[in-house]
Amino acid sequence: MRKGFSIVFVLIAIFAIHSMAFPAKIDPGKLGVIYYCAFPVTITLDGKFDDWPSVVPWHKVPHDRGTQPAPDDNDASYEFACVADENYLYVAFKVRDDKKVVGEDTGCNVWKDDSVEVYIDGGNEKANSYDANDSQVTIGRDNVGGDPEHPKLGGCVGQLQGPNTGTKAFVVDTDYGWAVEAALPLETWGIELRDGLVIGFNTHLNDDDDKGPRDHKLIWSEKDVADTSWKDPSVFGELKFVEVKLAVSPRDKLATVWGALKR
Amino acid sequence: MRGLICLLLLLPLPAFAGLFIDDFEDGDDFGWRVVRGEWKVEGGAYVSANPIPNAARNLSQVSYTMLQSPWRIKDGAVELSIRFDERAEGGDEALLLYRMEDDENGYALKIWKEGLTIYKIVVGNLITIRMEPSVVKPTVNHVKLELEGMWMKVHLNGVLRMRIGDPEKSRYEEGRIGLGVPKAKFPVRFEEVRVEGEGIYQFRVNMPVEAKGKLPLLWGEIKGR
Repeated sequence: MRKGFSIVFVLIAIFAIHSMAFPAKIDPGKLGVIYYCAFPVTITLDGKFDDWPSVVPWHKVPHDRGTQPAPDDNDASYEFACVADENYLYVAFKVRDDKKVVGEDTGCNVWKDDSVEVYIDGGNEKANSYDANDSQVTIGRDNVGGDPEHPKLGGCVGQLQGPNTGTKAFVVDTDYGWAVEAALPLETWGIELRDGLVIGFNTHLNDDDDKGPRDHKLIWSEKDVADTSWKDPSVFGELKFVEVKLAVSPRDKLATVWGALKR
Repeated sequence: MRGLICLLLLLPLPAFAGLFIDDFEDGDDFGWRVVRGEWKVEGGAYVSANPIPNAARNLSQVSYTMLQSPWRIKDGAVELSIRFDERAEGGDEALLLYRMEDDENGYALKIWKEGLTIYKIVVGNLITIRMEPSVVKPTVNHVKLELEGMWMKVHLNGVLRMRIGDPEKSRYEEGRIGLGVPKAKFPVRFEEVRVEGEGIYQFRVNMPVEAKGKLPLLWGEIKGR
């Protein structure tokens, strides 16, 4: 009887901790228009995704959303999520890709191979050309096995070019394709984190299936209808930072709770 | 019963998508108006015969012909097959003109060895909206262009290869279609032109379609026989 009571109590405690850690739901925003980015949440760049809170929304960009659509989602599609802490904007990508191509084009030309792109307009000015707080950061699959502290980056446009942003990235191969965990330093774009802050934001996927030129180009922002984000921040969508109350990671907390109950 | 009929008449009529096909099997090009270049119907194809050595950047350098349809395409689909001469070894190029407000303003899709390019045509100037690399076959390619509002989707040989939009207020909403050749050493053949969309229908291609001013001529011809 006493054992049964303890089990029920433990389950209630687990539920309570999980509920305290994050709100039941974060506004999913709108695909291609706005993403709600929860903070403060700190992520370890290890390609495992187990420290991404389950309530964080993932926006799925299907195979036919972009200027160079793919025949199906297995050929090319992706989903991404974002969180932030006082230092970094963390962006995760899960890329479906049936034919992985890397090493043909690297550095500034990595957009021709398998790669993802993050676009930031720190001031959300929506100008028609890049200013000092606008960037394209391109992260290639050629970073698999590389140094996450110093990844090879593309996005060599504008004043604040991708390789000079201090972005860190961990890239891994997966059974469905490949994945990225990236940390973009907020200070690079002069972003001072606060609840309700809105920045310009976009994500892209470049998919190369057979060497040679890029085969598929998928785009999140619905305003970027002709793949012009690389030169025109006015076609970005938006990312809004939303503070989550009592945001603590539930990871490793269960053992502590269980230990306390046993005592 | 009469009340029901009256009620039905009061209901707004739905718009129906129609179809136009010219397979050029009748051997004539009536319905088409050559704007520039030498064009002829031959073996079930409309053929641009004159060579154009340098890639055109303006319609004034393009060999092209316009379909003088009584309708204008807004949303819908245009499809056709384009046959390049084997001797060109991928060097020749073709244009599908669409939503042409007149002979010098509208859009064009170019099929060439590097892939697909969509132009906005402003007073004859070919202004690139987007070029996407794609596998274009050196001989026959089937092209399908889908139009929906600002969106333009291009299927090449049965595969969706390009999807772009023209969000500008100055975009062309509707217009006629045409065929063109901006660069070629050898004849380029256009086959089985199909247009589908709201308000599209099969007008007689062997009859002048702009009736204004034509009826007296026809009547004169008949009387003269």
